Amino acid sequence: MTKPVELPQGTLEMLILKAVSLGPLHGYGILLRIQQISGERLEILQGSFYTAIYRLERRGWIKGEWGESENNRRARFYSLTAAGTRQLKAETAKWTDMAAVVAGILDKKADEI
Amino acid sequence: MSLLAAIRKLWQSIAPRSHSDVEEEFRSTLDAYQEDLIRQGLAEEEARRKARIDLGQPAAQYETYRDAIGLRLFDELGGDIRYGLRALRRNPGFAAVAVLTLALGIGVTTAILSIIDPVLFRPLPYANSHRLVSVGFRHAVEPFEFMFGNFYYDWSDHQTVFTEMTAQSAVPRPCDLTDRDPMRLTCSYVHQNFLPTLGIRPVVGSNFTTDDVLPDAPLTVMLSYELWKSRYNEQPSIVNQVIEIDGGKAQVKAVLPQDFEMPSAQPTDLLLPKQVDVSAVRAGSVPENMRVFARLKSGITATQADASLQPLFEQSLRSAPPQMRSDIHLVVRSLRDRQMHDVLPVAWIMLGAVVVVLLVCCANAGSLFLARTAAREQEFAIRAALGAGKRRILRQTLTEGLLVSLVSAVVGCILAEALLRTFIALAPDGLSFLRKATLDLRILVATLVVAVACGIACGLLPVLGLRSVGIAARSAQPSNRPKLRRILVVAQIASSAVLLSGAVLLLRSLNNIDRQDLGVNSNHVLTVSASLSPRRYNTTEKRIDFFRRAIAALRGIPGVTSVAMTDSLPPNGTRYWYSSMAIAGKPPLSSEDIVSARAVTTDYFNALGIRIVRGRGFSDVDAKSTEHLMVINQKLAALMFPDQDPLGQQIRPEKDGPSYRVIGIAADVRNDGLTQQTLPEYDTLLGAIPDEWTDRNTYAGTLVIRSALSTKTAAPWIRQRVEEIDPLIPIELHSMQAEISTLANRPRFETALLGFFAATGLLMASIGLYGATAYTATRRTHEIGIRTALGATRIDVMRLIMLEGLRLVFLGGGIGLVAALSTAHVLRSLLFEVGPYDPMSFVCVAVLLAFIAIAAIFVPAMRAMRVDPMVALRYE
Repeated sequence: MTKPVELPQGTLEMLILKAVSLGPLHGYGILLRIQQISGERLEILQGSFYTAIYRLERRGWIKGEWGESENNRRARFYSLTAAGTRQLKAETAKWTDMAAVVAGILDKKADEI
Repeated sequence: MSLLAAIRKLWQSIAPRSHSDVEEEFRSTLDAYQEDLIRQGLAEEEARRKARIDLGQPAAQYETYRDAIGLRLFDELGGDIRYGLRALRRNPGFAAVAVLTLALGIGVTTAILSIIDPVLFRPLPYANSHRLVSVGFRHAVEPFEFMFGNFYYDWSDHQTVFTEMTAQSAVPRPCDLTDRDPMRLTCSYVHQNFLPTLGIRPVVGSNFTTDDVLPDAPLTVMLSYELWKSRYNEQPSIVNQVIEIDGGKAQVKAVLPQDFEMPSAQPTDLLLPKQVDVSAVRAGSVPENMRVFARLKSGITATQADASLQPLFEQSLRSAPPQMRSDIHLVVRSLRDRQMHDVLPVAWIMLGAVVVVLLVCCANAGSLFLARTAAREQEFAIRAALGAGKRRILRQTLTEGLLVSLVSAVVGCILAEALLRTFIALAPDGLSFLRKATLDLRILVATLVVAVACGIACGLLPVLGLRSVGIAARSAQPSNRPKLRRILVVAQIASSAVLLSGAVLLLRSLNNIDRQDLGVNSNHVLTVSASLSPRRYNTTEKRIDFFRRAIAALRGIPGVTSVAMTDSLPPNGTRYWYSSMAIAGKPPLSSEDIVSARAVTTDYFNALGIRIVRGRGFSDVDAKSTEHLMVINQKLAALMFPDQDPLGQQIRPEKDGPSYRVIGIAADVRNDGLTQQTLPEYDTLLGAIPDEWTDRNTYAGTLVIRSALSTKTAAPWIRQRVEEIDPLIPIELHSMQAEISTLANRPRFETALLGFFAATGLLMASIGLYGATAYTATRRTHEIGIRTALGATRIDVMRLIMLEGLRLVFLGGGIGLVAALSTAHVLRSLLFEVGPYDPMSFVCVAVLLAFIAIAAIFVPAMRAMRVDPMVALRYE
């Protein structure tokens, strides 16, 4: 098993948006999806997980609707709203930019500075 | 339907999810996770436990939800409120006293705020009223600034500080509406640009045109809203109709707005255009006395305008007699200052007093809260132990303070309404602004602000001294809080002392007013004021005839000993310039003094019981003579003839008028109002010389009747006799004593108001003092027990407790008296024949304060004295 990664603050919401963008998911599904995509490297703090979902729903970035889960249980499925799509795009761009800048700085060798 | 759907959708988007919804979702996640765990090989019970450890309890999930969407603050606040209400309900005695105390303070404050708001703060009913000013000359003869026509036009042309200047005639005139069922009204004359300058638009109709103000133009008129409503049923069709004023036709131009009032604050029913020949007025050949109002250009203050007008003023002054120049000043002041000039000091004093009352009440409520917090320390300690931070406890006490203060605000508003009605019922006519006082939204918002401030103060005060809330709070002696309470008590006593000394000073002053010697014997004197219509009594002969017949008819009533007519009734009089008076054969005297003049018929001195000091009064022989005669008062005699015998001297009051022979000197009689210094006065005879009647305002004369009959018995006789002469004349009949007493209504009202404040403050302070002493006594029960056991007598115990209370009283009283002495000068304008530093009053205050304070201390001290040492030693 690879080494687990700790999640920087504020990124959990971005990950949830990403997970939901691939198709409607219920809460537990989102949790599983994130773990799956990350190759089991992310241990999501369980308590804060729903807090993030509630907040996203309140902001109108995701929308929850009751439906049937794969094993015929009633579950609330979340999907991305238009505002959520825009937000995900903006966040992704910001994140990539920042990662590139930070990586660029860290990559510099002593003689290049 | 679609609107309803839209609203529902909007609500759904902002409404939080329901408890069951959130919980169900969470349970389904929990179940799914649990199943996964079982699939991974955990036992069912183990899986269930692990799921809950990892994800949390379903019962707590809704709280997580509300926290996540930011509703937790509201939830906690709701909890605080519920908790606070429960705490108050547990202790209804405390709640009731706290609410009543604060309600009293808030109620009084609200009532007074609503009274002084129109005086001090509320904008006057004109567009941009803060830029309106009153402009004119000021001389001691007149409380209000005035202006002459020729200067007005000159100033209008050359001034640079106003966008517009306008004028109204100085005095409104009685006039009669004569078309159908005649009515006596008040007419005011204004210039064409009057309404536009004030920024007033008529409700219906339009402003006067420039043609309306030309001399001999057809008469036009505007109606007050009141008149329009009462007489013309608010019909807009009244515009352009013709009505009859004093027998002449006048076309209705417009109706004034409901809240319209003349900038001079004089009531008026009709507004007429002042028709003047401008060139004649400019040349000074037609004298015109007016009041001038102007609108300041933006960015210019009244003071700047005053400075800028000085050159014009200096120039105008050159036409005044040299000896008068130094007595005339230029005045440019805001409309509010002009309208409220005599009530502004009262309003500020009332505001100050009511703030003090409010503070005293707040201090009382504050110490109640303080005492309660002391009793609740254990509760706070437990809450702190359970994890409540200092901030959380602060919020709790703050919530309770606000709860109490908001309930008090509601009770206070009811109290304020009752107080306001009482004040209005008590208010004398002179304080007409009081009738404008209402509890409107403006005032209620102010009340709310006051209440919230009180609530915050009461809520914060108890926690202020609490350094750390924790387990320590339970065990440690809360040593610094009784000190806080003592400070509050001292402040209360000091504030009450200030209020009390104000009230005592006013009371002394009122007593002086009531007991002063006016110089007349008003016992058994009735007064009848009759106002003759200028239309029907258009010649002097008709007026002379009416009054002669009235005097003769009233003399015939059995029991009447003397009847006289006068153009003004003491303690009032008519003020004149002194400086034009001269002793015949000598140049005019120059003086800044004002002289009062009265025109009377022969029996005047007898009817009012005025003593003739030298010479004689007017006789029936004089009434038939054509010689000009005069009786002067002692003041005038001393002023004009310091080293001569005045009798037989000739005095010429008017520059080009006749000379009068002085035949007697009368004792001084108040002639410039109840509370002003007596002015030098001369009385002339309304006798056989028609000019004497013409020169005076004999349209409205007062008949003075001395009789042995009571007012009740004499009144129908008098009315009947006057009606026999002319049934249409409106008369007002009073006993002179009642009339004089009415004049003192205003000081009486002011005294009552301040007295009420003082009583409230004193009551609050004594409750505070009582509470503080009782608290100390209880706290020291154990100590008292030991002392008694060791041999202290009951008197020793009592002395112990009383001394502690007395220390507060002396400290508070001392501070209060110093504060009162240093603020007493603001009362000066309200005081009559008593100085603001009157030692007698302050001794009274000190004695009264000490008496009440000792009574407040005595009760708890007595209780402490009776403490049984056995009980005391076991105490706690």
